Amino acid sequence: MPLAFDPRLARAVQAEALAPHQQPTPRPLRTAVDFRQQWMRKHPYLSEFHSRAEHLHAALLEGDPAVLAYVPQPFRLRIGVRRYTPDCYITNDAARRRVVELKPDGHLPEELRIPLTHFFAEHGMVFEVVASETVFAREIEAENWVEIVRILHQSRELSAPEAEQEVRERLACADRCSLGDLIDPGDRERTYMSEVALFRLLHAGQVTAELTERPLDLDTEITACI
Amino acid sequence: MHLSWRARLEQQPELSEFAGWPMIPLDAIPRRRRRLFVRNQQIAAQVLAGERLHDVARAHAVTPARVTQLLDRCLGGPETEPPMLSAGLVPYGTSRARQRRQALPTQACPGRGGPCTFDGLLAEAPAIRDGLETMIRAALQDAPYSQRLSPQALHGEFKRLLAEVHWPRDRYPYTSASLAYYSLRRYLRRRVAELEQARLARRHARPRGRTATTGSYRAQRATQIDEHVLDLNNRVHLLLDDALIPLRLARASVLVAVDADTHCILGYHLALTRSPNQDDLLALLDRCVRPGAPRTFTTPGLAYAPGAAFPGALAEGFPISFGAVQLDNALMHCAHSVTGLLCAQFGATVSLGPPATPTVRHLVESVFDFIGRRCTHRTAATTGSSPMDPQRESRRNRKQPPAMTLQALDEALEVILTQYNVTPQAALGHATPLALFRQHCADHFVRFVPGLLARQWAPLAGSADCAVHWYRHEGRRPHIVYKYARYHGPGLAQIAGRDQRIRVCFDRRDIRTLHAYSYAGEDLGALEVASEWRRFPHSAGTRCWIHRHAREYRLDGRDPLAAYFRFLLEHRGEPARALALVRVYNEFTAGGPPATVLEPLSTTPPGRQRDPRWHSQWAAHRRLS
Repeated sequence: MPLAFDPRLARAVQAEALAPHQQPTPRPLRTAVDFRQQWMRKHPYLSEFHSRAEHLHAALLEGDPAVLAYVPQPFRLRIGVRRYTPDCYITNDAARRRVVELKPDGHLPEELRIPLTHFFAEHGMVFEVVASETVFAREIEAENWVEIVRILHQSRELSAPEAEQEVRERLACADRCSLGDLIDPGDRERTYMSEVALFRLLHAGQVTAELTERPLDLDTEITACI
Repeated sequence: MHLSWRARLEQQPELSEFAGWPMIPLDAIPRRRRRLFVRNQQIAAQVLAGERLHDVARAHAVTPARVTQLLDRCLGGPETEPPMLSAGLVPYGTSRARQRRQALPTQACPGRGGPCTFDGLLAEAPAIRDGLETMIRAALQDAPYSQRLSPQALHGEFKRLLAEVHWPRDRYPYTSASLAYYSLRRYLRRRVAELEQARLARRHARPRGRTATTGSYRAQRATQIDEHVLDLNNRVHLLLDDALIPLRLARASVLVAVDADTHCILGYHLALTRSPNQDDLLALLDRCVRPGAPRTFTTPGLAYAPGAAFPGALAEGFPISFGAVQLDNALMHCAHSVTGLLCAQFGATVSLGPPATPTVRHLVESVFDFIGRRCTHRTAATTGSSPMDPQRESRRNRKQPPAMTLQALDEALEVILTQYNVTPQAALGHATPLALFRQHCADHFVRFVPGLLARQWAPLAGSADCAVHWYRHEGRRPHIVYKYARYHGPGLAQIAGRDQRIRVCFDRRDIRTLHAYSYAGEDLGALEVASEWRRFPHSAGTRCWIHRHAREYRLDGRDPLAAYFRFLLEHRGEPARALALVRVYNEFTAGGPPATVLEPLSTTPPGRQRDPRWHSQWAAHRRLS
């Protein structure tokens, strides 16, 4: 049953600022957690993650066309005397802005969860606690998106509008198409722009690929979105 | 019900064919037990063939009871479980948990104790087992209510539990003088070991990096990088005043990058220091993405194994890139230059891993073990674990320890690490790492880097933002300060008074010249360092060391680089200074012909030399009103 909004509980949380910016990770915390860094696409800065679950969760957001952008470690809050930094701030195209905390078994103590839910509701956001297990259940998909993001970042300065149009036309003509049909494994240099164009279309949601069951490979099926 | 071997054969007569039993290869048995294993096989085969027990026992010089015992091991056992068959013939082998079949001793029938009495007690009284288990687990989990775990404390708990379950006072353990203290102590040690192992297995089974579920084994998916101090004393021969002086060097370090899925070594870098810095790590990355041509060895007997190479140097040349880079929390790994290169330029993921868990990067640690076994621990001058290591040099050799020359060490590392790439490994299905790397690149989708992008990758190129200073009232040239030294150049005149900061790019191996750009992207040309630092190529690390220690060691400020070299030469008897001497010498000569490092400076003090290209009025129009 949803909790009725209680302004008293919302006031238990104090924020320095509610503009979502990635909060820098202090050095002691870097060494105390499974710290990861990667330059992502929907958070186009050096993104910092404090666990593998957070990293994979961000990768899944990259693959979700409904997500416009996200910010890891977005706010620095204070709940009573306790400091708290949520894991992710997500901007969707249609839904309300979400603030996500990843926890094993989705368990966050009530003394944190209830004030945070009221606090973010007061500011027009939805606070969610996501179980890390749900992220690990989609591990293959997330690993595939991590790899795609790496390729996209690596080729960020290359312009490929013609190659994108060419890939669109090929997918529109072909009934079934695999990654190996679009790139030449024997001469990757020649078909590199097609590769980049395909991943850009995939990231933009104009093309779909079978990424949930198996790692990205030459036989991965690609289909155009209708 | 427990079956004897005869009862088992009556139930399953097909087992009387010894040829139908599973075969255990003789290679799987330890060499010193093979003779007994073959004898046991012959005994079993002869009895099953129908020969008399006594005849078989006499033929093999054992008692008939031993023959029965052997056949019971192979064919006997609980009715519900399959017999051990050939596994029962392995000498001293125990593949089935032992359990007590006899009743526990009592005062009326003390018996001889027999095996598994304590386990039999725990099986009969599960409450006691649970109570002991709770106490052990609480202590291992450091629970607030736990007792300090000792055999005495556990024995006290054991006696309390016996009383709690109203254990008969005439049964074991009350029949033994020690009240099963020694059995309990053994049980405690076994359980602690089992629980510790289970905890470690759980810890390692957490999904980190690759997991069993994904099965995403792919070349260049993840790379493990680490550094290691080589347990080996090296020497160089210093040519000074026409005399060849052998110098003992302190231990050097090696940095290795290994592909996690194919076990292929991508490259290595020998750092002439005990504590490598970010420049050494960048040099390693540079060697991975830009491997040089095969080397010509000067050490006799050293040569590449057939087909041995680092993957970046292969003829087909699949470009090396980085996916997840697994590092530890060393300070040099957290340097902005390293994370900036890996994440911003290569697009890689930097993973510093969970704290205090080097087993996450077990592969690169195993490569260091390989280096130790094949190279560095083979000489008698090894002090691997401590100065009291028995592998250290003998007393006779202490003054002149057997040591490998630095060049021989570098060449040996090149040989053994490339050889590692062409050595079949059981973990790879007896494929070689290099063959697997090639196969992945040819038959699977592996991240590709086109030549256009790969040529832009320059791990040893650094950049920094610097403030532009111009003391216009003194009529001096504008300058910037980078690493405690001033840099001048004609390009600064264009922006003096207009821009406050510029961006400089440089080669990390030689910071005498910087290339300047304005924030608007305007090329400002080269900036030259002040003349006292111009004499030899040097890195930022060397300049910072000189700056920090110049006062302490009274280094001459007019020619600090030569003064530093002279200082190291004077202290060449100390192995650490001697190692620094070699590093600085390599840096100053930059791989070229030997420089005249010790030649005196010209008579004109460098600080007094004027730059003919500059006149103080040139930037006058830029002055602010």
